[in-house]
Parts: sequence; structure tokens; C-alpha cells
Amino acid sequence: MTKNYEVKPGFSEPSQRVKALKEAILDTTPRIEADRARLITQSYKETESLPQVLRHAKALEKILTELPVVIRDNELIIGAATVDSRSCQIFPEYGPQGLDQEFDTVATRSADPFAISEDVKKELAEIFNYWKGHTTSELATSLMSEDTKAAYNAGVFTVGNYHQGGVGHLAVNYEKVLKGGIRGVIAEVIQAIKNSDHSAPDWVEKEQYYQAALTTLKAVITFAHRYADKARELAKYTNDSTRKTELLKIAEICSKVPEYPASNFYEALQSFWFVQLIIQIEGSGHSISPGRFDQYMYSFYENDDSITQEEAQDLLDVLFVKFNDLNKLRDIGTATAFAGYQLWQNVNCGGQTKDGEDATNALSYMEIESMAHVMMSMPSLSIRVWNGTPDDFLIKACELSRLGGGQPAFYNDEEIVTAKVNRGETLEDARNYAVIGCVEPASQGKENSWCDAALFNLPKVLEIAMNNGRLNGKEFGPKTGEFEDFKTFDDFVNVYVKQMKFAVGLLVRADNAVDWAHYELGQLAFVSTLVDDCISKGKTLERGGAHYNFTGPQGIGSANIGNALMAVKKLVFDDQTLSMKELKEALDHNFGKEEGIAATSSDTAYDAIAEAVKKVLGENSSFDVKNLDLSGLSSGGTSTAVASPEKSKYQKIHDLVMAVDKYGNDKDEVDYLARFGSRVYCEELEKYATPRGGIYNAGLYPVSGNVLFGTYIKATPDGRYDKETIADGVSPTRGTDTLGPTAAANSVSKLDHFIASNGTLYNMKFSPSAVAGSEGVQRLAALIRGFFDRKGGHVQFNVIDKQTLLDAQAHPENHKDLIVRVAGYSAQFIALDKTVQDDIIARTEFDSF
Amino acid sequence: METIDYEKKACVFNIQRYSIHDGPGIRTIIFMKGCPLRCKWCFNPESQSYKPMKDFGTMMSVQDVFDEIKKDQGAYRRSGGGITFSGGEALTHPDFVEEVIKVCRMSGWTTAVETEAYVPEKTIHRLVPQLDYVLLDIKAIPSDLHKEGTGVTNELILQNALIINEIAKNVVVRVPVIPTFNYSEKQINYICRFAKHMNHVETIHLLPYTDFGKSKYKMLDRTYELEGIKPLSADDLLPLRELVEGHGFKCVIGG
Ligand code: SF4
Repeated sequence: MTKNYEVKPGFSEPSQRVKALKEAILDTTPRIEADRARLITQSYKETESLPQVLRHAKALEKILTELPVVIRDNELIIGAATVDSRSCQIFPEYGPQGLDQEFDTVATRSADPFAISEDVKKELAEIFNYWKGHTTSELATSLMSEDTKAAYNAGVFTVGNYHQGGVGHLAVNYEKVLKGGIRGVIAEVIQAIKNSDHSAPDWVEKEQYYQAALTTLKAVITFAHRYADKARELAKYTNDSTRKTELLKIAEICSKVPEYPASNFYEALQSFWFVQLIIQIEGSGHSISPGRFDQYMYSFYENDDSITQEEAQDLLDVLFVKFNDLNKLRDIGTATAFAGYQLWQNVNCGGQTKDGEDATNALSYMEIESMAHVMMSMPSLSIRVWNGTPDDFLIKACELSRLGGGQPAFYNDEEIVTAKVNRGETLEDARNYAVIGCVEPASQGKENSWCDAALFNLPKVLEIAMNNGRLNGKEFGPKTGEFEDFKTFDDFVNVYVKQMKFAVGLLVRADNAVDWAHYELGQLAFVSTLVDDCISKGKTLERGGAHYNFTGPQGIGSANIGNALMAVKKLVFDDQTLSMKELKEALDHNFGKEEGIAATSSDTAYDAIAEAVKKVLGENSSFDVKNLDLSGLSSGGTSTAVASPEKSKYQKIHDLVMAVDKYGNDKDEVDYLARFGSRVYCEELEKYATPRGGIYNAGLYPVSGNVLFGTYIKATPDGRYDKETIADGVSPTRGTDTLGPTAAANSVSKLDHFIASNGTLYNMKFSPSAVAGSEGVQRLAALIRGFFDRKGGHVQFNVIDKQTLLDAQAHPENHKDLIVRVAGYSAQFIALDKTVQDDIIARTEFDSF
Repeated sequence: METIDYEKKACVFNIQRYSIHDGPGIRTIIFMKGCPLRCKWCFNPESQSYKPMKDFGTMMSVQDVFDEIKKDQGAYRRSGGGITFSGGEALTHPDFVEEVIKVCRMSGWTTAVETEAYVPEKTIHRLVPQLDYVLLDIKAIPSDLHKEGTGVTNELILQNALIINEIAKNVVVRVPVIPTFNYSEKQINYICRFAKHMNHVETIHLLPYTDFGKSKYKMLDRTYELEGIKPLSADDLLPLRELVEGHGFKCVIGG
């Protein structure tokens, strides 16, 4: 029996319960809690002689047995990582995440503040002391070469994400637990033990893993039973008879799942949540993405006769609110760049089945409805679109876009499936991709895509190419000649390619160092049981247990590269309006601007950058922040010394540069230069292998690192000023795409999205009037289809007017619930750092013509 | 076999992509230069003269136009959109427009024209049957008022309107609502009563007066006769919409 879903235009109201749950979360001040940190530390002190995988498993066992169990008012789906909602636990095994330097400022910082009590500060300080010298971040730092670190510090790239924290970034096989229970997984491990040759040389390693896996699986059951007990206890004390019934029901469910298979929709949701939660208690990696939720959840809804559509919708809403109960602390640098209390839990819907049929079902629509009901920063919703996607479904999704929360994002199966096959996946596995994190497609339950491996600053490489291989004035890359001496445009392009090869080589070394640190110290037994083929191989994810392995670093600033190459080609070589020397001089003088314009003039940005750099090297005693090369951050003596008549000369050059065709206006020449500039990066990367037995797999998306990366680069030939932000993802430089959305989308589709197979990201912004009425959503749908016909990979919309955003900056207290699209995710606008807010406000807004 | 003269040229003053108010779906508007009227409120005064002047207008061949409008073919295909001819008065370039219509037909894109219908009857008979949509401007019914506001009397226009009603596939009447000219119940009533004679017209668009052409008059060394008159908002037109609806038409403000 298929469950029908009657599609209606518009959205209904959520229930009172959903509203209350949401309210409770938004009203809580996030807090730092020390329980997890204390428990893991106690456990590690007791297990010093054991192998790491087992030590961590025993620690998780202790955590799941002793962490406070909390059931909040009104909750139907239960299970929390912290006593207070939206608060965070600490993961000292990865490093202090900058917290040791921020004890006194974390509560008041501009991006993602967390309250912290004096007791917790004291306790954590001691805990960090114990871990000193034993964390993954310190190990990774010690494995990096000097030139790698120089590139990292100067913002050529950052591998900070997995360097400072856990890896995460998975869409695991939830179905396995829903259908077979944790008992089923235990059976699978036991079967694998039976199948193994116990005298083979790898058995010792395997045995450790199996033992660790069984330890954690048992602990997961214990954790759920503790919740059952808690619910029973609360039921005893409540006078509210309705709540009592609810609590007893919760108790019954938690005694059953996830230990045993779920047998109805409610149980399946609860079982799912335990898995989702525990993965995020086990390790600190974010982007634990439910992925194809509508696919593995559907049979539980379809076969559940006890539930009406309204009840199912309400439970789904409740779960969607619950995603926001989780939170994590990041250091100020990362929080500034990637702000918004975001864990990137990405839920998907639609697309194709493994067999290539349309996958859209009732739950796909209900996910959209829940997003509209909840309108919070998590989860992210990804709509998979293929040529067979029902129009009414796409239009429903566009209606959600129009609400202005920046959700959902749209993905093109026609491009992504092909790209995944090109990376060696089977057609079935490629069709079963899930979007995780921001925009990264990974085969659900089979792939460890390591997909947020780095952010790579494409325009910075161009700057190195323009400076004979020097990085901020110091020798760095191969000596490829001074900019002034290039005789042809091809000379310049070839040098860009050479420096790219060099910089990518360093990036790979940095990523491999981090990878090795997780291999040594970061193995996670529980989550590894949920990704094929870890159990059969007897290896954790960190040791290459997954069926598919990749490392996916992102290039940022395709538009800047295209525009810069175009300006040089046109002004210097084609029209000979300028000499290389004149252009170089103008760049050195920041096009006659008095001061470098930072993304913001406030000190927070500078502090943030300094902090970000600090975190890179913080734990390694041989490095000192004082010695860091921060020259890229100062506005430089030269620009202030410029006399005013000269200034206008440079400003004139700026005018010339700005008059050259820009990427985003459907002009082939510049668009293809942008394609070339980013393709070079992708092609260079795919030549490298990862330590886990896969290849490098490039993406072109920014998270929101484009703001931070801009601060590392001086003026560039595309007309960008010193420290100005670079373009986000594959989007055009803000304000330079002037021919409307179709022209801009055409330009974007000229990039090679197939080779950027770790994901691309295109942001479009519309004023509400441009998408008004039923025709407005139809047009949005047509734009998506048209863009996808041309093999664009991803697009998302911010539908919100500038005035609202400005008002929210001025009066944050009135806009607590304003959610905007940042990059691959949505965030509470007022929680974002000002630099990021400004960047969002400045993106080109398409109105109707 | 139909022949297309790709070399044919005319003066085009703008090609605007992603137009969403001039016919169904996502459209590209080709603004042709030259208009026989001189509306006081005209917000494209640079479009009135038939010659390229200053920065306004370039001679383009059918091939040039085809290359440009082709760029959004994906959007037309997916939205049921296409090409809209506007101006000036596009129908005063019948030969050129006809060639471009052929190119669109060949590519499967819909075509629309925005016209004031002040052209010879034979042009209407020749081109209107080939177009998918006609957006017909009717500015006023009393001929003297029409002459005062636009420089020409309206007998020809009204006569053409009735022919368009007979031969067009789809027709919408559009009324620019201009204070001091036709911003009154009386004038809009006249227009509705006339439109009732056009039995294929279901919808009337009311376009509120804007003054964003003002600065262009200065550039062209001309005086702007409506100086000081405030633009109308959509809300200002609500009573008139009721009136139009009272006559049994669908009414869109802006449109
Ligand atoms: S008919 Fe149109 S283009 Fe011609 S003068 Fe009047 S408003 Fe201007």
C-alpha cells in the first residue's frame, strides 16, 4: 500500500507543541558543559596501556553510561547531549579548539558565543592539561613540513576543519539500525569475526576493532535503556495525565529501539535519533547528515496503520526541531568564518532510487512541510532533482525557498550521478548519493568522502604567480619570473598553472598529515559500524574501512580568477591599453585606495584572523604567534604613502579593469577563463591518492570562508581591493553580474561541474517581489530546470529584502527567528559575525525587470 | 520552405533578458527604436526617434538578435517563455520583426508584442496572426484627450484594436494610468466599455505611472512635461481595479 500525499499550495501551521519546542530552544543561551570531557578523561586515565581504538570505545561506553539523561518539556523524540538545550560538550581528544585561550571571552565573542561557568572553566583547564601532547591536532601539526605550514598560515589554504576537530561528514547506513536494530549490527560484527582468519597478520588490528565495536554497540543499548528508565521515573512524578501517557509511551519505545528493529514510524524516528545523537557524542566531527531520510524512513510510514498523516507530520516536525538541540564549540576563527551554530545535519529528499526510478514519496513532501513549520537553522534540506522529478514537488520546494529561510538547496542528479560514476562508483551507488554537510554528494552508507578536507584560496595562487613565486614577499614557490616580464598571455597562464601545482602539492601534504593523525589517534568504533565495509574489512573509517574513500578540498574564488585573467588578457595583451608594469604598480598601490578595505573595519575580523592563525600552530611549542607572518593583514606602508595625483592614476586603472567583461554575464571568453582557472585546480588534485586508499576529489564551494580568505590577499587584477572578500563558491563576484539571473546562471553552468565532483555552490538572491505569486514559484522552478539542463550542479536562493537584513543588524532582538542562507547552510542571521552579515547583504539581488 | 533573411537590419535600443512582466514565462524583450507617438509620460524617450543617437540604439541584424536571444533558450523551454517585441513601436519595423518571428518559430519559442497599434491595418493583418500574445496599449478613448497626451488621435488605434481582437491568438489590454491624463474612474470606465467590444479580451493590466524616465529627458535636452507629478503606487490603483473587475475583466496591477 502506498501512502498518498495530497499536495496543496502553501503551508499549514505547525502544532502548539512544535511552536513551544522551538521557542524553548531559541530562548536558551548556549552553554559549555564539561561532563563528556570529564568522563572521557577519567576513562583514558584508566586505559593507558590499551590500543587507541579500544580506549576511545571504552570512553564512549563510560560516557553513554554516565552522561546525564535529560527529557525536556513537551518532547516526544528524546535524547540529548547536554543538560541545557543548544549547549555543547567538549572533545578534548582533538585539542582544545582554542577554548583554552578563550575561557574569558567565549561568552561575549561576536560569533557563536557560549556561556561558561567558573567551575567548568577550572575543570576544563585541568582536563586540557592532561591531554596536552596527545591530541589529534597536535599530532597533525607535528607531521606538517615547514613550507606546508607557511602556506597554511598565509591563507593559501586551510585544513583547519579536521586539524582542529573530528572528521564527521558522513551519511551513514541508518536503515541497518532501523530494520535490524543494534542487535543486528552486533550480529554482523560477530559474523565478521567468524569469517576472519585469526592467524592472518592483520587479525590483531581487526580484533581490536571488533572488540571496540561491540563495546560501543552494547553501550548504545544501555544509553537508550537509561532513557526508558528516566521516562518512567518522570511519568511517576507528573500530575499531567496526557504527559504521563506520553512519557510511558517514550519509555516503551526506548526499551525497544534502537536495540530491536523499529516496527512503526514513531519508533523508527526515535531509533534514528539515537543513532544521529550518539554519532555526535562519539566524535566532534560535524556534518553528520541523515541523507536520504525519505527513502529509508518511508517503509515505516507506509506500513504504519496506527498513524494519520497529521500525526506523522507532527512527529517529523518535532524531530526537525530536535536537530537544533545539538551544538558544538568552535574556536573564534572558525566560528567567524563558518558561523551560525551550525552542525550541517543535511536531510535530503527526492531524486532517483538505486534503480534509476523517481524516488519522490509522501515523506519527501512532508520533509518540505516540516521545514516550513520549523524554520530553524537545522536541519538543512537538499532537494535532489532529476529530469523525472515531478513538477509539483519541485514547485513545492520552490515555495519553501520563497519563505526566505534560504532552504532548501537544489541538486542536479543528472550531473552528480555522472560525476560520481566518473570517480569510480557503481551506477547504483552513485544514484544513491546523499548530500552531506554543505553541498557534498557521497554514496549513502558506503563512502568516507572526507569532503571538507580543506578550503583552498585560488586567487592567492594567482597572487603568487604574479610575484615570481613569492608569498607575501618571501620565497615560496618555483621562480617563474616577474609579472612585468611576461611577454604573452600564455606565459602568465602557464605560470599560474605551475604555481597551482606547487600549492596543491603542499595542500595534499597538509591534508595527509591530518589524515594520519586521525589514523593514529582518532579512530571511532561505533560510527564505523554504520558504513560499509568497515565491519567486513575489520577496519575503522579512519583506517580506510569505507567502501569508497576520498579527500575533498574546496577551491574558492573561481570568479576572481576568471575576471583577473580576463582583465590581464584584454588590457595588457589584446588592447595593449596598459603595460604589465603599470597594472602591477596599480595593484601594489591598491588601485589608489587609501587603506585596504577589510571585510569590516572592526577589530574583530583582525582578532579573528590572528586567532585562526594561532589555532593552526597553537599547540606546537616550536611555533609562536609572535613570529607569524601577518604581513598580508597590514594595509602596508606603500598605500598610505601615495601622493594624491598618483592616486587618481591608479583609480583610472581600476576603472579600466572594472570595464572589462566580468564572469556572470554570459560572456564566453571570461566565463571560460573562470572555468579554466578552477579546472586547473581540480585536475591537479585528482592526481593524488589519499592515505585511506582513495583519490583526491575537488569541490568548488566556500562554506563562508570567502570572507576570511579575502583578508589574506592584496589587490587583484579583477579589480578587487586589498583584503576585500573573494567570490563565494562558483557565484559571480557580488555586484558584477548585471544581466539578470539567467545570464548569471549560464555563466556558472560554463564551469566544469563534473570535475568538481565534491560539490559546487551557487547562491542566487531574489527580492521577494521577483518570486511573488504562483507564477513566481513557477519561474524559480523553470530557472532551476534551465540551469540543470546546462549541467549546473547546485543552486540555492536567498529570498529576503535588503531592508529586513539591515534592520536585523540594527535591532537583532527583533529578529531572533530570521534565518538566512550563508553558503552551504542556513543560519540564524543575528548569530553571524558582522563580516559575514555584510557579505550576505552585498550579494547581487535580482529583482524583476 | 520558409526563407529567413538573417541579414535584415533594424535599430534596436536594448535587449533585456529575464523579463517576467511582458507575457508568460521567462522572456527576453527586444526593444525596437522608433515610435510614432510622443506620450508625455514616455519613460523611454530615447526610443522615440528612429535613428541611433548618442549611446542609444545600434543597428542589429536578425542574426545578431538571434545570437543574443538564443542565450536564454533553456529558460524559455522550461518556463513556456520566449521573445517579446517592444519599443518604441516594434510593429513599425514589420519586415525585421517578421524575420525574427520566423527564427523564434523555428526554435519553438513563443512570441509576444507590446504595441500601441498605431500602424497601418495591413501590418496588423500581416504580423498579429504570427504572434502568440498581443499586449495592446489603450491609453484613452476620447480622441482629443488622446491627442493631447500622445500627440496623435486614436481612431486608427481603436480600429486596429477591434481587428486584433478578431485575429490574435491571445490579447491583453494594458492601460498606463497617468495622473492629469486618465487617472480617473471616468476615463477607465470608457476604456472598459470599449474593451467589452473586444470579446476575446479577458484581462486588463493597469500600469501605475512612474517617473523613472525623467532623468533621460535631461540627457536628451528635452523638458519633462510631467515634472512634479508623483508616481502612483499599486495601492493607488486598487479602486480602479475594482472598477475594472466590476466590468467582468480580470485585472492585474503592474502586469
Ligand atoms: S507609445 Fe510608448 S514608446 Fe511611444 S511615446 Fe508613448 S510611451 Fe513612448
